[in-house]
Amino acid sequence: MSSPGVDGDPKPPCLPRNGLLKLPGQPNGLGAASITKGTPAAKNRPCQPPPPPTLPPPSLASPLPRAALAGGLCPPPGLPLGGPASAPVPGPPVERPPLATDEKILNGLFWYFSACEKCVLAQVCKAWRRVLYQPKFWAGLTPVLHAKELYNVLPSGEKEFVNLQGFAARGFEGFCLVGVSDLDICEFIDNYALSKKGVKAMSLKRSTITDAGLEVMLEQMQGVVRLELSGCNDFTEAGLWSSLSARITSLSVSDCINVADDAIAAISQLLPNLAELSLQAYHVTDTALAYFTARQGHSTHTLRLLSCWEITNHGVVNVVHSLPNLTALSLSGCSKVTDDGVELVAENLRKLRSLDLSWCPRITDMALEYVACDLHRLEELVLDRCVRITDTGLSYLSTMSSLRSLYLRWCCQVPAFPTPPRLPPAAGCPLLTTTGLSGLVQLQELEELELTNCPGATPELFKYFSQHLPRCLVIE
Amino acid sequence: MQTMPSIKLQCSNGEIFGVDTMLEDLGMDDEGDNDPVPLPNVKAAIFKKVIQWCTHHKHDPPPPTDDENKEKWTDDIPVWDQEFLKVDQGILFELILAANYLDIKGLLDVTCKTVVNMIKGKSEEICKSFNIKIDFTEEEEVQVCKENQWCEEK
Repeated sequence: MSSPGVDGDPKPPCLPRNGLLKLPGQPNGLGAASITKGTPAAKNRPCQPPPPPTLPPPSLASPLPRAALAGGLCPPPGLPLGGPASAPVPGPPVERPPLATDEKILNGLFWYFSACEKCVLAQVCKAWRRVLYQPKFWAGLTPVLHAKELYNVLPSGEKEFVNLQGFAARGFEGFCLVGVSDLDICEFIDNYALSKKGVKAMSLKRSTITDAGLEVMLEQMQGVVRLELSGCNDFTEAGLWSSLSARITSLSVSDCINVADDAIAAISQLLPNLAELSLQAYHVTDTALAYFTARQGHSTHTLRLLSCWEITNHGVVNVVHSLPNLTALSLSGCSKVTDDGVELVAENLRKLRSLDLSWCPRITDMALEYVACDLHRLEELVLDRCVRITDTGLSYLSTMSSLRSLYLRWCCQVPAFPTPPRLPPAAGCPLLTTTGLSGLVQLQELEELELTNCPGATPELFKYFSQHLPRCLVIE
Repeated sequence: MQTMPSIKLQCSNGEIFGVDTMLEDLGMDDEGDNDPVPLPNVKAAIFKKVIQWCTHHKHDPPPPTDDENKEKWTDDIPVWDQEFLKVDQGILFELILAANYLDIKGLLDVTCKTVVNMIKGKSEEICKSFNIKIDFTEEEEVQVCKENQWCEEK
């Protein structure tokens, strides 16, 4: 942009011809930039053709002359566009494509970079930042901000909350805050322009949020429909009662010491639209799993009970009756669940597409028979550390044509196999032999097979898999 | 690709090329005037390169209509194209603009990927290799750096 002072106009740059005074830029978080944006002087300044290029411009950032002209009333730029045919090497520098400002090119180029790379590219120059700071390039990403990153320490020693304008511009839908207190969260809400309506997902990890803090957060941040609380030991079940809002569709609570049955009561009463619940709680008992209401029976499709050590088959009974529409269920680490519990799951949750029975040491081949018999839509099955599964169980699984991913990690007793069988991921199930694993060759739709720590998984075996299950990713 | 009768294209410097359209339909009607189609945004030298690329690729299947708004890979540039694109940065960008203007998806894709593969390293290095002026003030630089730290912890 040319200022009137440059082209021989005697007035100093700050006083454009019409006499309007250019105000100093208001602080807008971008430092001293963009002072002239929107000042009246810009509109009144008559157009001038840019000075003819005499020296190479210092960088590709110099805009094409046509960009400097407003409204088309001005004489065309003095560019030799119709001049001598360009040489194959860059001729007059002003004709060089301005990579830094050609936003059309940049808009296309930035799709080729990962999130981390984009974070670096935004620091190259203003034009790149401007193009990159569009929501489309950041869809699905969640920034993780630690408490100490939220404040600048001023020279006076005081703390000031950081400027989050750069996050607002990118339209992040969710944030993860780590190690924050009630006060930090309030500051975040006050200082982030989009906090009240624009944030859909909040995750708090290892934070000291209290009941009051939780209440304020969910009350103020009206857009939040997905909530995660992990390692937060300062809120209680009373806090859940007072803060949970019906708009929440996804809730995850893990490693929060005060969460037990009453928390489930609160969840079941207050969250009719809950689609996804993830719970890692050592003290939740079977009774609580009967609390789910008919509304949730309808809306909840994903339930993860992780390391809920108190849950037994009775709890499973409650789950299958209160949440009949589940498509994904995890009982990982629910170590008291036995084959009978799996039978109930198989008989009642026919819509299941994903089942995780990892770290359930009591599961045997019987469970796999039930699964193979009844769960005809099952695509993903996780059996890591199910140490009692044998080849018999595998033979049941090899009839499941719907299976796409199978995890059997830490099955460490599979002996070597001479002929390459089709085996699902066998990682950590000690009683699996290569023969048994071979039966899984029948799973034509299998895409992923994990055979970590499986003695029976020999090089010949892998070769066999690669020949007969070419589409399957086999991991050892 | 279907072959059409030869048409005339006039580049920004006035040079006229006759092409038996390996390129997309340039919006001419069947009566086909004999007037050359003007391409004011494409220089002759660049256009020659474009023709060269199109000629080599004329038997390629049409590119898949991929979703624009999706992360893309850059490690699948054919060897011929890699050699073809070992040119000056300026030419490379001109090719991107020309491919975009002429709507040649295949060429646009490989030229973009080539540039992307050149954009490596820290922001200062990128500025240097593309001769881009860092126009942030010191405060702005601190700010933009801070608000992009969160990704590094992955």
